[in-house]
Amino acid sequence: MKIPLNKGVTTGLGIVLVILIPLVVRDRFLVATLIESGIWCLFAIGFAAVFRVGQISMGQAAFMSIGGYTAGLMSADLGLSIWLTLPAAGVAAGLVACLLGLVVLRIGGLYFAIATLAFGEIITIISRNWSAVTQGPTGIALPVPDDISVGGLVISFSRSALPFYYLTAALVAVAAVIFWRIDRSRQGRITRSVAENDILSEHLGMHLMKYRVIMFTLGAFFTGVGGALYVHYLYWEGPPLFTGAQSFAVMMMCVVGGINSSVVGPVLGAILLTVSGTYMGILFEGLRPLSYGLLVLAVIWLLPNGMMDMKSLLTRLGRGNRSEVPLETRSCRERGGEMRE
Amino acid sequence: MRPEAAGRGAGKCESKHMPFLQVRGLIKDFGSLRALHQVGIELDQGEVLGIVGPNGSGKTTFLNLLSGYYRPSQGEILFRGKAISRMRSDQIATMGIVRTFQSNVLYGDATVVESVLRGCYLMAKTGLLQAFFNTRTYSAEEKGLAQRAAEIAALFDLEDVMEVPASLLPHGKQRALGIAMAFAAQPTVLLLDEPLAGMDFAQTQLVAQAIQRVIAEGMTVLLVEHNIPTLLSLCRRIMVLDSGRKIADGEPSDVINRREVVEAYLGMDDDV
Repeated sequence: MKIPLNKGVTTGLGIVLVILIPLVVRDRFLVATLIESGIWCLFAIGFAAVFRVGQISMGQAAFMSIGGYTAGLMSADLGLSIWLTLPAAGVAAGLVACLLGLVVLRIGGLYFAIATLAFGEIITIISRNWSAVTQGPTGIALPVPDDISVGGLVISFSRSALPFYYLTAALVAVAAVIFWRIDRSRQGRITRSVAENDILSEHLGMHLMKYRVIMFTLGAFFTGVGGALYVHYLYWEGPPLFTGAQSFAVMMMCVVGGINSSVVGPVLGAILLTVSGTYMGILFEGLRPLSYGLLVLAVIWLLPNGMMDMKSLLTRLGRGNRSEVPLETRSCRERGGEMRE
Repeated sequence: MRPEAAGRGAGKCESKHMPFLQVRGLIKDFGSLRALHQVGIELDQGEVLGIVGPNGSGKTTFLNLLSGYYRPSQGEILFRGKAISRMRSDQIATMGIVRTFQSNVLYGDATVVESVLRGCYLMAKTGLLQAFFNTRTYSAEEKGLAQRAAEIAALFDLEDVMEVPASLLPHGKQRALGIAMAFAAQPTVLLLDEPLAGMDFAQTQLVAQAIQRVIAEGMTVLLVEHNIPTLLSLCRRIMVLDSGRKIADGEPSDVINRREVVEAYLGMDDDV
């Protein structure tokens, strides 16, 4: 019997899989890797949001850090619950992004990329040196989130990683639904228009700054929430946690997953690179960066539009005849390759 | 398509003595180069003005100033009595002045109908939150706009290429699409920058018909064009620019025979 695999069925199966994996596999290391993947999914979705309006933010680690320190300070100094620190971290990161965006998104393009890169470095320097607040290189130790009792069932963050796993999954789901909905609505079409041709869009009445700032702020919000979740998970926040390397990693995840997609591509890229990076670190001890780099190169070479291209790659391999694909639907690299042949 | 006078806000009361679009002493400097010298003009609603002049005479600069792409160095642009010379392009478009571009400036990856729909969004009333939550009002409006986009594409003879990406269209269809997108924004003033550039006879006919439809809607049109016969068939008033100066403005039959206009175009001197 053939099962119709439409989007609803696929999504339903995906949700069931996410719920069942840690219960069935019962592997702590795998659960820890999946939690980290989920947090990277939030970062990747945040980066993709800015890319949807045609801008490349090279300093996303700044918003992870702002979220992380907000949660750290609220939790360690004020003793506030994780349920307050998470949204507060998102709001803090979003607010900073909004203010920064109002200045640097006016110019956009390369200037925006450089400005965000510089902003990321500034935040790293502040976190290292403003010891009175950030406690400098020592960092902030966070307490374990309090247990929650729901109808007699006690959910304990200290006894098991499962609450963190399901909390991460839920936050990724919320972010995914929000950006998927934006992408499918009129705003998605307008953001694509702004990214594709800002001059034409502006002359058709689209307010470039409005859409750029909205997407940058929303992206920073979820990046901040991800940062907060990460420091709660590690019980620690410090300067080495979010640096330029993390900003670069999140870009790689989106490129590998498929940057033209607002949700699925970044999520696939984040999961692939986090999981493979972790396991390659075990398999090829000492060669992790090399194996990681080779994997990224292989994906980019075989799938120029990221993992979102997997279906067309499989179709091409299945056919064994590339010429059956209409010329205009192929990527520029393929077209160039054919012309050289 | 619309029986009433075209465009957003059309019919809203203006004083009988107030020009619909008024340009006063417009100057544009690029460093030491003065691209426009004290250009002034007044237009009534529904008027169709042809703007001609040799290359580099300031025609596109004039449209760039009207559409907010450039800010004037001096001078004023008043639309319905309101100064617009310091406004952003999107604010000017929202007020009802929309333009096309000299080159084929399009959304290359978007299909024809999608491109026209993006033009229609200037007319949308529902906000971002309604769009996000897919409210009933939003859905109904989106459906209406999609239908309108399809109708406009058909109006500009693009119905056979509705689902084709804009970048794959032939030149003539791309020019028609550019006008269709601007038309979809339902402007009161349409600025057309050399819509017939680089076209063969058949393509010229296609786009000229598209412009005729725009004019028939009652829009105020400013048309920059080198194709004089077509321009004469479309416009009842012509302004001639030369080296950034307005050298003539009036009825086509009068303007094209003026000595300074002939000199500007053909470079004739007293000995000829």
